[in-house]
Amino acid sequence: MRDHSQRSACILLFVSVVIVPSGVIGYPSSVFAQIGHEQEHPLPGAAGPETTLRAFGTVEWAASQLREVPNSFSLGQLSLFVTSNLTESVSVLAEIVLEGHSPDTQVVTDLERLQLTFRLNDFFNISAGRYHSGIGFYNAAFHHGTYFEIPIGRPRVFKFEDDGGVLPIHELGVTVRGVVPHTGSSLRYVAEVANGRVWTPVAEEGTTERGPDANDAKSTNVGVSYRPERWRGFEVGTSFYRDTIFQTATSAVDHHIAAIYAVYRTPSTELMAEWLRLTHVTEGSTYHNDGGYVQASKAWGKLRPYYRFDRLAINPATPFIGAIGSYKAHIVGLRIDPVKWVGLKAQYERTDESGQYGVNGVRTQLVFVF
Amino acid sequence: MTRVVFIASMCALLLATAVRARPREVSINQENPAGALAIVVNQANPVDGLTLGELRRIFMFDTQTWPNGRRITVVLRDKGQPERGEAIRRVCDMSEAEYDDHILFQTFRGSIGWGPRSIMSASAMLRFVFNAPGAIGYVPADQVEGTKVLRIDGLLPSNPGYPLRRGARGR
Repeated sequence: MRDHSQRSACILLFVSVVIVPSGVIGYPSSVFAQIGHEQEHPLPGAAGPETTLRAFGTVEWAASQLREVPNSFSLGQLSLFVTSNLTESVSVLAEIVLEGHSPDTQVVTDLERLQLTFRLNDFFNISAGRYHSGIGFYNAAFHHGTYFEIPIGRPRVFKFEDDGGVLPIHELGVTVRGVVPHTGSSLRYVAEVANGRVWTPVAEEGTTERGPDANDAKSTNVGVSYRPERWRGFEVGTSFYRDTIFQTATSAVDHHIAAIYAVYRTPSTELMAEWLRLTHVTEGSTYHNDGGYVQASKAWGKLRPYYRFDRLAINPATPFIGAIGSYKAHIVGLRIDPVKWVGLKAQYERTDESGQYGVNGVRTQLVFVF
Repeated sequence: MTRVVFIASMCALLLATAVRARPREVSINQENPAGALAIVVNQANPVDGLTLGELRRIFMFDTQTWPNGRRITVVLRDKGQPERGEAIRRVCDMSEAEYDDHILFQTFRGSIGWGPRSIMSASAMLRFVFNAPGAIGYVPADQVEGTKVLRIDGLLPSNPGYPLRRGARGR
């Protein structure tokens, strides 16, 4: 009995001292990584769609020397920005904007963007849905994100359609973007085909496309941009947009927009310049219109002074947009970011518009992300 | 005698368990010169090295796929950890707040499907990169295990002039 016990103890000792450590050393180190951790930190889409909601809010105050325009606080847009990764390659983006337009608490809700994107690789990304057209730089860069804009307000040429804008800011169709191969991510392209803008008199709401196209003609937009690696933050680009707009059942207007831009953007410095030519061609007549801006800002700690020159020159005889009128403004202001995700802007504006010249005004805007 | 053998056996078992619980650490070299940061990828990743500019483009989400077409998953340490800000500063030459702003802006533009993943520790970073074929992360150069270390500008962390060591000038 005693011998049996001793034999068992020795066997146990042999196993614990020799066999088990051998097995420990013999295990590939990869096993340590796998055991019990295979479900940690799943890749996007592995455990189902991952949806993230962010919101961008704006509160404003404005005053003008025009007696008929009282100084006033106003709510800007509340932009709900939703993204979701369905798989490693497929994602969804939606931007829902709530705007207070009336003196009471009513808000207007707009589905500004809704697009599903398939990313094959860096060279080919295709999206379908409603998106901001890739005309120039500003539109597809800033969307409805007032937090990201340094000055208050968009350049006049990039105003939204329902705010008297001259461009097809939103499109409903398909957009393809990517890096041109063998350029080391320096050269990029965009190509879009969409319904085009539904043109109605400027004074009416709903001048943008939301539903079915009004005609068979589709708008197209192509653009290229160059971001040299040697000059980080610098980008130049150009785009060309065309569409056919029917004035009546039998007469059409060829609508062309050529854009060129140069920007230099780093966390502390922003220099931007864009120029667009809008051309409307009818039978026997061609109407040229120009718009653009130059913008500069520099951050010193939390303070960021800025300046913008803004210009829109409209030929009054131009179909669809002739009544909008020309515009010129000098804007100088200061932005302060007291805490992360909050910005406070204050600016002085001197504008020429709608037959009124040298109108002085001040605006302040509080922007935040949450 | 039996009691002694039994106690010795139990001690050996306990010792073996402790050894098994601590992953065997294998350094690619025996020193971590001046706090060098090793860039690690999955062992199946065909890429062996990157320039600092290419690495920066990956962290900034200008490049989002590997040459074999697999989606790149950038893995950083959790927000608030000094290792996160340090890596962002060395690779991207910007502060953590500026980087967060950049990621949000690119996400808002629709250029990014998802941003970087956040991981709590170096060991968790290694486990993630080990399990995710497209992942790229970073650990101190003396804590590499089970992953492939990329050459940056042709250099390993132990080589003089390695660009991701403390005090090295980024581009």
